[in-house]
Amino acid sequence: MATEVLMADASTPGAGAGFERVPRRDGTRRLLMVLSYLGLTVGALIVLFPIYMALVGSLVTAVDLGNEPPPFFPTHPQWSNYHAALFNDDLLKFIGNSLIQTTLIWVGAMVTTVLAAYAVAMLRFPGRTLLFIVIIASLGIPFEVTIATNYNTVAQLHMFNDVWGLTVPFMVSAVGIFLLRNAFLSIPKEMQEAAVLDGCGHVRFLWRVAIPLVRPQLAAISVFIILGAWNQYVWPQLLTQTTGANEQLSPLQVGLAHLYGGFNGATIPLAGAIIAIIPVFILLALFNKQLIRSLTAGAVK
Amino acid sequence: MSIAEFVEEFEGSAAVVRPKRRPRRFRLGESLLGYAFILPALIMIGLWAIYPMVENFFLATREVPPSPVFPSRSVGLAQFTGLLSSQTFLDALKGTMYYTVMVVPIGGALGLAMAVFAHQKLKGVTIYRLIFSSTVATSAAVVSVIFGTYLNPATGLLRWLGVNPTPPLVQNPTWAMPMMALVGIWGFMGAAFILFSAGLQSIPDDVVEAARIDGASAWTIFRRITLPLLSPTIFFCGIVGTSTALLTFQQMNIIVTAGSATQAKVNTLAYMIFQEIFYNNNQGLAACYAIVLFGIMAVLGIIQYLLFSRRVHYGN
Amino acid sequence: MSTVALSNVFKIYPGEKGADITAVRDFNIEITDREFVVFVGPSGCGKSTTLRMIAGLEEISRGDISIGGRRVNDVPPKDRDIAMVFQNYALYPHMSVYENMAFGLKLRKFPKAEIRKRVDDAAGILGLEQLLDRKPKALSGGQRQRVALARAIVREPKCFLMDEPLSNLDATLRAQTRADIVTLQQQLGTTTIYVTHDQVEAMTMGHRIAVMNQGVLQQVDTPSALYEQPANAFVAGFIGNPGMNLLPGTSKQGAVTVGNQPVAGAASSVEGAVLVGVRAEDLVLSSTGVQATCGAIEVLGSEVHVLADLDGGERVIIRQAADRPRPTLGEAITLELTASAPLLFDAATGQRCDR
Repeated sequence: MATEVLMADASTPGAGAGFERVPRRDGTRRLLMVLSYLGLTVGALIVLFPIYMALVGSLVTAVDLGNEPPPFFPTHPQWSNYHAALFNDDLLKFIGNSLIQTTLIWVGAMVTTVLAAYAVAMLRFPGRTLLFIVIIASLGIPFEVTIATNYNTVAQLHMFNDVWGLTVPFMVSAVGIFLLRNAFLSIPKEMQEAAVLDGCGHVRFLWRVAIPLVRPQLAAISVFIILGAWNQYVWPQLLTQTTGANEQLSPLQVGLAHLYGGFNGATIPLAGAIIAIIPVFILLALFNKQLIRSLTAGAVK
Repeated sequence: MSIAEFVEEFEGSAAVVRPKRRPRRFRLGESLLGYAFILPALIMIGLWAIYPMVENFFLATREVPPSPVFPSRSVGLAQFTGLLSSQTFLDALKGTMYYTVMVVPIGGALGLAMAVFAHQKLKGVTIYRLIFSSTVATSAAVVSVIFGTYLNPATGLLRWLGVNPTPPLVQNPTWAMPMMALVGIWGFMGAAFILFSAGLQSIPDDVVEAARIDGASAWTIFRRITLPLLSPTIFFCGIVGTSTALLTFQQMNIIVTAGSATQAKVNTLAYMIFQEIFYNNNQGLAACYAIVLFGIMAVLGIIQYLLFSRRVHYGN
Repeated sequence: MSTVALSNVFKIYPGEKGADITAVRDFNIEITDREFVVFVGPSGCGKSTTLRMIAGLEEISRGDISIGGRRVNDVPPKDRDIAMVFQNYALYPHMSVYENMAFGLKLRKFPKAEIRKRVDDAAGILGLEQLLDRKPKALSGGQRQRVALARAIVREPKCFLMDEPLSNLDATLRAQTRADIVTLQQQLGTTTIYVTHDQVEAMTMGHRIAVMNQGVLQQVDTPSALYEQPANAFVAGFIGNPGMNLLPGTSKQGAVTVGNQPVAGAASSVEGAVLVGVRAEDLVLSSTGVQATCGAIEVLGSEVHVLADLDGGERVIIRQAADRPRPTLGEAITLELTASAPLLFDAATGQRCDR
């Protein structure tokens, strides 16, 4: 494995002479291993430190956080910040909003994405290639540059004051279409033919055979869509903060930002941040592989 | 005479049937089903991506009053050229560039280092991988709240070092943008880690083993084998990072108090789009910013394409 | 009556700029009820395409195909009452063995009890009772192959279509499954069309064999007839292991010579260049006859193949018993034709031309 590169034969320059494996000296090997763990641990500390500090901050009182030096460990952990964030500051409601909106986006995006991917992969119709190119090209248009008009569109469609304005614009995934199309194309041709002989039409083949076969890719796209929906900030901030009525629809991320921007001290927003992270980290721990698959889809094409 | 020769001759002598060319036909039912399946996605993409992108070019030539009660009026290119020469725009452009130039190389290098360390058969490496990739899943709002809190004076971590700068770093016009970049670097590390891990996995083992048999040291192998073979990934990572960085403004929006003098120091082009809609209700100007931002990304996309098509030759 | 008839069937793929590719040309065959017919030929000869046209997976460019007396050109595959076994089995990986077998019946709205009964029957015939709950992933290659067969059986179709169903098995298993399929077909009495590139499979399995080459049906006949009376040089060379030797000869007033040696018992109906077909066992090393050089020797245990190069460069194979004296490599040898009536083929057309 290329992995062993780092632990390779710095100590045995003679290894080039023959094909036999020259055993490394035990000491060198151990040193390299220690160094590797050191590197890994430093990296992990860089990543985890902010999150750990947030955890500490969320478990101490505001007074304790102001101590000199600041606390590095929650000596008397207590949950009042979490209670305050969830109940006094309505984070619970925002979590509910986020759950509803994320679910709607996920369901909507999966339906349009699966159907479109099946069409471009398995059905023959005039203009198919062109339409697929259009879909892929749309990846080059970031959402941020379209918000001005989308803001108007949402208003014109009378979706401004309800949950649809927050969800409908995200109910498709061009990345997902690309990934799924490849997955559908990799289904053996003979499998399709066997299904045709068994009496499957396209709709039934999609539902009974193709979808079960591409489950891993569906999972990858799902994690991708759900994470994006759960974590998004710009659009809901724009939509729920310009008019007071919409504030009731704020998702968790917007609620959290306002918790921070309001007069809530430091500890309560940190508790909110930890609350917002938990479901995401659970998702990540369970579906790390799938997420990586969807994120690297573009790199390996 | 061999069988093959015989067959050839036999084939040649047989009457060759040449019927009329039959065009590839589409089945009506299948075509209709195809359109029906692709339509929902097309409507969404058309409505929320393509139409607004095109509409930007129209909006950019209009002066749109804050209230929809009043009609907008055409101002031609005046608004656009006015923007290009305005100080606000230049500051935002500078801010965007600064942020990108800080975040992409530093975050990318850290991600690469983590990927190289994690790309070994060591006990517990899976946990490290999970930790490293976790920053991609952490939302901008969460990161902003955490960093915002700890870069503040009363709650800040710098007190550990006995320092308590006033105004706090995130409200200090000089230090605010570097702090925004710090947040961005932390966020981008995970994505870079994931991309580089995939890249490292795609390097064939035998190439590295061959180098080892040739007697190359670990550093030489990294420098002369791993890094060059990773160049497509480095490039891809650069593009992904750049397009993300160019669009960033969430932490600026959450951490830095709106309307403060510091805010002007952390403006980016994407933030200006948001501000023109959110605070100034000026959609025409927002569209101008959007076009500039899109233009920059398109140019980078073309560069990407050119470099990518070149590397194919020496890649595989 | 489950006959299958193809008349004047063509498969033409439109090519670039009107250069169409004719994959199957003017194919005619009548397959009778309960018959086991094997389509055999080298890869790319159109045998699979023909099978797929019968299945309905490929459109028929011209001609007619009828199954059980009904013209099926425009009948969709699922309504043709056929079942197909694929080379890589095409089992649905997300379904259990039972579900794989039941799927086609479910889609045809069979009552549950009937499905259960048919699946159990088929599983019994093929020894799959213990595997019904497994997923294809958990099966060996041979078991998967049997599931693919079972999936075809449960449908109780008019006709089985098998597309190289054994080529993914190892040699031992292949020989055994070959016999199993023959027995099964006899038991069920279902008309079967079987495609293979392996002439041994064809010879051992088929009631009749249809030899194809370059999209053209060369000959349809029983295995022994094909072996003894090939219609043309291609069939002669393709059937048999090794195939028939084709020695270049010359015909003058009906008398045939090979390398200036007269061939006894040969009488040609054409003049000029001919090919003299001789089986490997009908050639012996002798003191008189055709000059050649020993090019290679293959020892197969009880017998030995001597590969001899004729002066014109053609290679012929002589089969002899292992205890016979063998030439050394490069040694000049002389071949004698011992066949009482060697077959003759017109060198220009490949057709038989002996009288």
